[in-house]
Amino acid sequence: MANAAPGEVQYEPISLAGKYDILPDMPLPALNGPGGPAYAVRGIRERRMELFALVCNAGVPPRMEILSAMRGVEHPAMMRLLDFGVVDWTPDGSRRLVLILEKPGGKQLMPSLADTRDPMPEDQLTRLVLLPLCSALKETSSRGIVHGDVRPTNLFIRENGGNALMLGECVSGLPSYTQPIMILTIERAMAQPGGRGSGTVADDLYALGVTALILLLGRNPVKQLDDDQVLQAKVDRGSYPALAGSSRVSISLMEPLRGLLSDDPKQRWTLNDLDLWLSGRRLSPKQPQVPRKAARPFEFGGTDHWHCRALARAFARNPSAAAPMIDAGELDRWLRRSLGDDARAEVVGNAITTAAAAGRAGSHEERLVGRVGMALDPAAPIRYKQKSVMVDGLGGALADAMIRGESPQALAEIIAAQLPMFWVNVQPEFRPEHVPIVQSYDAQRSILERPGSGFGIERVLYELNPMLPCISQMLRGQFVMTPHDLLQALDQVATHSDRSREPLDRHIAAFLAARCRKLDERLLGLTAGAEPVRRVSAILHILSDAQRRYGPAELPHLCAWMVELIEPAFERFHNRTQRSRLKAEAEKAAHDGDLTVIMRLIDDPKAIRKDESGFATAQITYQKINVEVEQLHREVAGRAEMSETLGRQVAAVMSSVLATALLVVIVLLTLTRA
Amino acid sequence: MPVLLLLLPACIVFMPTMLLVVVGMIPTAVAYIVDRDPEKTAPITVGSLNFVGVMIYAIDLWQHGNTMANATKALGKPVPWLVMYGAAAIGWALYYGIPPAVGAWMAMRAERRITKEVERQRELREEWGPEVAGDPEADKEDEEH
Repeated sequence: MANAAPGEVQYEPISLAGKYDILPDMPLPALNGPGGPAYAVRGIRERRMELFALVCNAGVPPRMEILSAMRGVEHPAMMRLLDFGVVDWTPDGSRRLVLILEKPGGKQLMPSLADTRDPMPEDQLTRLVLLPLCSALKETSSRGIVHGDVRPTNLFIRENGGNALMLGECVSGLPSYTQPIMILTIERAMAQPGGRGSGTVADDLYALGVTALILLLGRNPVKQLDDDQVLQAKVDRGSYPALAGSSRVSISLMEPLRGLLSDDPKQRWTLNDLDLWLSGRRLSPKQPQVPRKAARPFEFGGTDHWHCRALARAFARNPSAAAPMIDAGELDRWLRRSLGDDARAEVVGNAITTAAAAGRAGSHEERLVGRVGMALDPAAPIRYKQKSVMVDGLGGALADAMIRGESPQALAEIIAAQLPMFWVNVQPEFRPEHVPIVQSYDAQRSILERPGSGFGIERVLYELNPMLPCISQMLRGQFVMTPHDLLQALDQVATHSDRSREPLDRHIAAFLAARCRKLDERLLGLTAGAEPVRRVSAILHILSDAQRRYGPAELPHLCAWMVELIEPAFERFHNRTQRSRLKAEAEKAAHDGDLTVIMRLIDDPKAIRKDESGFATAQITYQKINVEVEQLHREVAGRAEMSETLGRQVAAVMSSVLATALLVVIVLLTLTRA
Repeated sequence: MPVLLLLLPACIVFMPTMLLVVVGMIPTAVAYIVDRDPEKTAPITVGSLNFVGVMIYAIDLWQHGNTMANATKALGKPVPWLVMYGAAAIGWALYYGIPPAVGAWMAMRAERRITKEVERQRELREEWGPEVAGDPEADKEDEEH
């Protein structure tokens, strides 16, 4: 701790890889990100630019999968990610992921969407916003990165007093996790924050369009509406009419704004279209696409619904009321007669048929309404039991739910009820990227159905989020990304007096199973419920296998923990000398920190067989001795009778021998005398 | 009949020896009569030594003339009686003295073997644990001790 002022705790700077000093005493609340708070940073080597750090507090999973790629992005209109890494965060004693970012010299362009600013002139908007951000998005897009957080509140003035802008970070939280509804496309706006998926560059372009519109107007044009009303307006009228409304937009800007705010991703402007426009090519403005409207409304929940999308949303909100109407055929009649869309009616019919057949997860009505919702609005997220996730956002939603301690039951049921597969089936056109989706969810469903440790929803969590740190309660305060980290963290946990009984819970088992592909899954099944010796042996096998493959080479505390646990395994050996020898060797191995040696000690089939056969022989010998001793006791008890019989025989023999000897002596004496 | 025809002259020739043997071996005859054991160990034990005692005077008789006078002369003295019947008495002493000695020896041998085997069992329990005895209750007691 540094020199502390009276009554105030001060912390020493925390070093990241010896290159950056993070200053926990200097928070920068204005730069806080979705992943955690911001702090000032002192660069040891990098002194040309101002830096700050985002300290991820494990509330929202960071986008680990794009961190390395983002580190390579150097664009004047993008906030640079200079480095990242895990540090021991002294203020709370935990290990945290820290992102070192370029600090903007100026303020946020708009601190809040509720704020009002001077409308940005058209040429300035083009020069300061559209041109640099188009270039920045090109840069990210070329690296396969979707930014996901383009919005006015994530734009910063690069230099104090200057005009140049920089787009803020997008890595500290799930994609578009904190993105306001009005900035999101209709489909992603309908999804819950954690379940929006990674999105595409088209989503970034849409967000750029909304950002441009807000800056052009100098205000949020739908400030008076709440999120649901904004979304409903977009659904009913289309994004551009709903957002631009009666605002005056020049013809020249109307063209890119209509193009970027197109609700049909195919119609939406691409980076090329925007680039062409920025280079001076002018096209006629796109007309807003009006969704197909029914001749007569479908009345549901006291509201008239004219479009499939709106009706699907309404159904998802009240499945218990929707299911009877669907079952009664009212929806089918409305689709065929009022909407005149026989093809959609067929898809809905298929949804009704398959809802009954697909699994037993959840209630029938929830499954039915979930499937019918997808049939009515194929581009919308999967909606089930008030959960709403894009097909590629299920992993994020699951991580978000489990980190926040919410029940993942509904999300698990989505997979078990094969809703992602049905989502793919109802898409109007087949795309190659659908194949891995189907394969992945099919695999997850079979994992989900296996109840043992290392399977179930925890395993699905780590399979769907390949870069998610292990969120086991046992590893609270640690940041475990790899099996190597996990073993190190467990070695640390082993030193705590309040540690759990065994160093493996469902999360750790699932994490290892997902990250160590060569792990023997049969062992995982034994880590829960099996008899103690087999369970501990299985845990030791798993951990030693992980240590052998991923290191570290020395885990003395974890080894000592395991030696305590394998006490019953020593009891398997009957031979006491062998037991003592094994215990001594295990303690030595624990001191050396090698789990494999400990594992080999208790899992030596040859030694076990030898011990078993030796024990069996000893048992037989013991019983034989019992019989013999009994016999001897009987002999002692029947001594009188035995000695009588035998003694008389002995007496007879002795007498005979003595008589013979005497007789010989007498004869010899007689002969000698004669 | 031919045997009798051969024995009769032999008896007439060896009459003095016969007289000595018949009188001297009376303890053996008694032993034969009183012993109910089918193996007849008492007459064997007593008879063997009794026979030696008789043979001393039988040989003396043969050396000094196998006559009835010599035979009666020998039977008329107390010493031959003492030697012949004393030998039989030693036989009886063996017959009654040896069985308790054998019994004591057998008991001692059995006790020694029991001690050795119990010791071996203790070693087995030490090496393989009380469960080697196959008695869980005994195992627990052993563990407590």
